[in-house]
Amino acid sequence: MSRYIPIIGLEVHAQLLTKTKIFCSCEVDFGGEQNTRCCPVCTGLPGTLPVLNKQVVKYGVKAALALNCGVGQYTKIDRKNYFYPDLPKAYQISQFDLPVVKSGKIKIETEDGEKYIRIHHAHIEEDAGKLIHDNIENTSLADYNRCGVPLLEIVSEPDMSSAEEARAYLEKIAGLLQYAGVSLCRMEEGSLRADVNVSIKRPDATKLGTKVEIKNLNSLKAIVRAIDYEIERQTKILDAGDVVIQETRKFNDNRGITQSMRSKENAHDYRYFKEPDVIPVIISDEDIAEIKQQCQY
Amino acid sequence: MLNTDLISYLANLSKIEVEDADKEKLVSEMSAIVELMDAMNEVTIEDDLNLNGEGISLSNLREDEVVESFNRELVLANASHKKDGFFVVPKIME
Amino acid sequence: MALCDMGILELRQMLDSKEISSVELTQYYLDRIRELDSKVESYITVCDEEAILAAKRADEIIASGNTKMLTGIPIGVKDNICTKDILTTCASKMLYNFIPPYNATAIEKIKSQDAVILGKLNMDEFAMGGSTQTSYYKKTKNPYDITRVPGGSSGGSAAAMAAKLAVVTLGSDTGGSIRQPAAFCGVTGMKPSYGAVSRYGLVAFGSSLDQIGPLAKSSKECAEVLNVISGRDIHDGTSSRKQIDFTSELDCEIKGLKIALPKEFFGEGIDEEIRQAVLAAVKKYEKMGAEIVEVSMPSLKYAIQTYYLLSSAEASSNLSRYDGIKFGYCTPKAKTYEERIMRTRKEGFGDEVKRRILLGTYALSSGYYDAYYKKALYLREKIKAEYAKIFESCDVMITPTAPTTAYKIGDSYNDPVKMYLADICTVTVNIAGLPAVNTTCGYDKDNMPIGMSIVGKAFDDAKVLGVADAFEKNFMSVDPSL
Repeated sequence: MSRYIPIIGLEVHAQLLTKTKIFCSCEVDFGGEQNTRCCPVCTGLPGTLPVLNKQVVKYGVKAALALNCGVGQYTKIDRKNYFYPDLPKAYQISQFDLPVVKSGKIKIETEDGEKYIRIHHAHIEEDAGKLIHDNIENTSLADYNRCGVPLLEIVSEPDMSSAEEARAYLEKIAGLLQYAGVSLCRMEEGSLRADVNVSIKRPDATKLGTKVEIKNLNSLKAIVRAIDYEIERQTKILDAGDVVIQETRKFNDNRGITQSMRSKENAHDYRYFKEPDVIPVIISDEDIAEIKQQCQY
Repeated sequence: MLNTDLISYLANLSKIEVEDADKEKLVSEMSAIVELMDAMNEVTIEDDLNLNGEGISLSNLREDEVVESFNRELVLANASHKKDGFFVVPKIME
Repeated sequence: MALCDMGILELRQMLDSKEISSVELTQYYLDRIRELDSKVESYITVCDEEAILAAKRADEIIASGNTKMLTGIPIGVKDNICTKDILTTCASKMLYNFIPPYNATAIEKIKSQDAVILGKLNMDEFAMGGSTQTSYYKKTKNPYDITRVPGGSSGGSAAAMAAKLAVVTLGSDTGGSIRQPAAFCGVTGMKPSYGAVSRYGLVAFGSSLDQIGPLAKSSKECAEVLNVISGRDIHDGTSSRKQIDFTSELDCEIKGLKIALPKEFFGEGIDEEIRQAVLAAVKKYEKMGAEIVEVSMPSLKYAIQTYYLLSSAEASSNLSRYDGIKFGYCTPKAKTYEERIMRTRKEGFGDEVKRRILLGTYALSSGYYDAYYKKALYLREKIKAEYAKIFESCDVMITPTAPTTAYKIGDSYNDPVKMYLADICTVTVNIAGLPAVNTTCGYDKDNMPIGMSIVGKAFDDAKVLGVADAFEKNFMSVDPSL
């Protein structure tokens, strides 16, 4: 019996099934030769501007309906600023405080019965490119085909208390989004990605424990293994009277362990501010009604 | 207060290398500028104004229709380091 | 009248009646540039070959009788507006070799009329400045006095107009960058309403403030150019659906026009000669039957801070893409990604650009956002509301365009704070997204031009140009003696 309660939250990224990217009209597709599905906008050339794809917002509304969440009827686009070679503009166009999908909750089934997991919000954003590491030359090769592919990021509340619950939640979300037709949600193909936040606390503690983020989870199995390992790792630390460091860790699939990432991931000041190139979108009651009609329920 | 540490932090955040020799001068120039900006301290946000501006209706957004992407040669034309159709970046310290 | 004194309308007639060909006209301007620009230094790139080729094509169109307003007209373009296959540097080392693979929408539109692009004009680096002295390439001079600045950031565009090295030029205005150099160089320059002209292809500085606009010898010509370059653009989500005919109020009635004069612009801080010249111009409007209304704009107290915080914050983000990887300058000495971007940006950007990036980063950073950026957003709404209230009962507003006339090269621009404060007459117009035109209303004791700004309601650009035109009809401008 564990002396600690695990507190688990999930950030799920689902690639939306639109024909074109979120901010330009390049085609969204799998595979393809590097840098062949790009244009001045998604490669961030000087003078270019993002133009929001209507279907991306519509899918956001569909997702809200499917996930039993509220719709942000005045929804705003924001910039998240950071430097990384897979991000051509050095900012990701995303949403910060007025997302298209507001809070809600979904029901999951576990062996201990039914449980509700709350969704904090979900927002639309652009995906980054891909980096391939050239170990011979010691360089990284950047392919921007994936830049601008539309994502829906679903952020849960830290309501899960086991790896099993996390799995059930992820499977439920994926199922709902697939059924709504907004995403294929296939982890193996990359149309579904998840990061996990894990902390542990004593049952009687009022404060939450230190949160650790785990990235690089490429399958459902990896998520379960990573969570179990992390709970054990943090348990050992607290039992020894030590302190868990707040950080981002990478899951090493081969060894089944999480490892500290020395990258700047750990301390980011994203300097969020409203994207001046994209006007906030007003989603009317009529818009929602029309989209509801198109859904398969 | 604007000091060398804060300037170093901001320079790092905006990824602009500043040599130690130039830091003092930069601190003094930025201090004068920030002092001008500090008049903002006299301002209190009173009303509940919408700071995000007017919105646009969903129907006015771009249609989801494919337009042919640019030729890869053009995409890479201005890059100083490229290889096999990729942009090349030196080693990223992890 | 010499050829270089003719405007678009006269040249249109001469071209269409075959009195002159576009090739002759273009060659004439290229010769003038060769002869005079070494003194003025307004052009960074001159496109001799492409210009003659475009002129030849224009002559074919003229022969077929299908001309449009700008067919065959030689135009200069500020170097932060992307021109396909033509070097576009933003006057920065960072873009010393940048050849855009696409045209800005404004350029597509003038090219669709077969206008002739003579070359790319000098500016302050990345449009940040009021003197065109921060350019990496050259320091443009004021044709009225080559020991003085032409203003900025569209100093090349204004100086080329004053020295008659193009028929019209295109500039950009974020906090006064068309109007102030137009004032310093004695030409007409217009910043249209925000959203009237597509920003696609304008290298971004302050995205919620930037607009492309024309500089010309007259408001009439500005109106003709604006009719060509404006309009809804699918590549710019902030471009407006409102159609404007910029020529529709030329010859408008001045009788009964209500002109607002904000008292803050006519007191301390404005040179006496400028104050007198603008008030004399206002008197002329009164004689034409206009009614003058004295108003006050208390929000001007924080206008400079609001402008610099908003524009620097946006700029700090807009300029993050310059890292040596996809385009532009790349440092030769870097072993890691981190070193490459940090050194590229250190070596590629000039000092003023770096200061603005740092200021913007500061204003947006965690812990300071509420104190600076959020307050600037709030004050923006206050400034908009103040203008809206004034325009409830007034049609236009008149102010000086700058607190001084063109100053000597070497003065001021080394003092950032002093430079920033000099923007007081122009920045609120950008903050509120309103249309404003500068037109020359006098000359000071050193014969330097004095400009006044006519400001209007959002999308009332035609009225603004009409009011300026009414003054210009009866004003004798003085050419520089180059």
